[in-house]
Amino acid sequence: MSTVIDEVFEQFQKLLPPEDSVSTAPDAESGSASAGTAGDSETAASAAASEKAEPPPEPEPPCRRIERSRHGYDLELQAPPDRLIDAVSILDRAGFSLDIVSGADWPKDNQLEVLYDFFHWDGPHHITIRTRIPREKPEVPTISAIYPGALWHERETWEFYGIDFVGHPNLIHLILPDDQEGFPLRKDFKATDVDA
Amino acid sequence: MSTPETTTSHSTGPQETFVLNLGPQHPATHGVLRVKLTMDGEFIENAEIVSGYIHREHEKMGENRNWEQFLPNTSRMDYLGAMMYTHAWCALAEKACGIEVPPRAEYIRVITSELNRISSHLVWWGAFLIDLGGMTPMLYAFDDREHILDLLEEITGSRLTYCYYRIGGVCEDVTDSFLAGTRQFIKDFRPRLKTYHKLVTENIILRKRLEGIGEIPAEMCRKYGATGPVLRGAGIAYDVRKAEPYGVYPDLQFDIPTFPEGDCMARYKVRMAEIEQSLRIIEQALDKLPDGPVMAKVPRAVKPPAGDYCMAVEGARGRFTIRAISNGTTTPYRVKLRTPCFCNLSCFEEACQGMLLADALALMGSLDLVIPDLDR
Repeated sequence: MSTVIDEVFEQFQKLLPPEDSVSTAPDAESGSASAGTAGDSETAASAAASEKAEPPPEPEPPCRRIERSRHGYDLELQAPPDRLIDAVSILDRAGFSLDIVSGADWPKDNQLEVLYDFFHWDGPHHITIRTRIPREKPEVPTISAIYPGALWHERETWEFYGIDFVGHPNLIHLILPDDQEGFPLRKDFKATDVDA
Repeated sequence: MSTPETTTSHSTGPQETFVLNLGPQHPATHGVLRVKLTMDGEFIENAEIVSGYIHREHEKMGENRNWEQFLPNTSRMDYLGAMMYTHAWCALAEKACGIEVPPRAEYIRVITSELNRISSHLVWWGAFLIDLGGMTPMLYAFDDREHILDLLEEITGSRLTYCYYRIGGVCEDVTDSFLAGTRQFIKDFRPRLKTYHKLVTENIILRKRLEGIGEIPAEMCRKYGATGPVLRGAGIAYDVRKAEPYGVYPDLQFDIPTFPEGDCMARYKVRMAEIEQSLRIIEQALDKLPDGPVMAKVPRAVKPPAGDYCMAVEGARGRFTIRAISNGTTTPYRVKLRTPCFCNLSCFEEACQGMLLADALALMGSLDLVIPDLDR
């Protein structure tokens, strides 16, 4: 395993120790497809945990290694919104470049999710940070102060999912028309609901 | 860059600015893109990109059709480099389902992808020079590109929006005449490339228009996620084919051309050098092309196990990432398409500040925009 990933893994562990996973319980225990994510890479994650001589905790640890040959990325961090900026700053200091900011809708859990992907110039390093937020109050801080490239990604995620990026200087429509109603990528969006 | 004194002495007064609309139908934007420019005389004070005119909601379409059915969608974003995009989708599903692609198919993918990369760069070359006021090069470029389109049409049936790759391989084996034609093309194209350089690259007018103009430094690329020739033109040797190797690229010898200047000329030179590297790759792949099947045994319905999957490829414009979430059914739960034009253009607003309008058009042309790739 590459050293950049190891370094970030260690810093993520410090930021969100595995014991803390109880606080992120709604993320880890959600019975939907995201739990399935865990399924495949559970072995990799628990292997990494046992290397550190820690008992594998029952709920998913916030930071897990992912099997690249299968999933195409190396590391995943479940961060609560208030630790997001810290986590992204770690990646910024490690020299990562911004790949994607995207969203996902989990109506069964009554949650929305924001996914942040980062890649590195030096090799096959791809790290994902995920944040779950309640559907009633979908708010996360903007990371555009660290990565200005996120300005557009966040505008897009806002208009398609209705996720409010707090602190974004210019949260207006990017791709959809200004009079767009509803959030098209939410699972309960029906095109027929909108006046043609 | 600060505004020279001369503009302040103009009768419009020192603080007066006006708004200029570039597009949505301006030919320099190569498609339907609008840029709202706040101008101080000939100088750009502020630029705001207004996009979405060709938005088709590919991501939502991904959620209501099955994994195989989404394949043609991927070739309709970057229509000049469609092969690489379909490669990304196929490779993602193959990785997720553990499908082993036959080596012959992998080599065919490399040959067709690199041909597609050359044809994409040729369109850019022609169109970019039209932006700069040179009409003739486009006629040369489209002449050579036509040979590539004919070759690809023979095996894929399409000229632009290819849907030739399949999850598990490619849909048809290549013909002997395609292989012979490709060899002939490489032979004919090398001297043509020399002509291109003589005709354009060393031209003093072109150099004056591009050298030192529109600088995008490496750090700006990192913060905005700009990739492809934009990043390599800032001196960073980042290429997904090397950094996150896929297919049979690790078995092939090629260099990553980089130029450290970060200006329009550097991006120009990167693309021209990439054409040569692509020719090199195709030659090797033709020599190594193994016999065998071109399609793996694929289950009747592609059903990746529940989980998240990422796949990045090097498109003609940079890193193209697909992020898909599967819930274990035949339909993706979520498809996120990260296109290089989106990220490359997002730094334009910052990079063009203080530039002359004519120089900003050179900068925009050097980004090699394909608007459906931006709008998806």
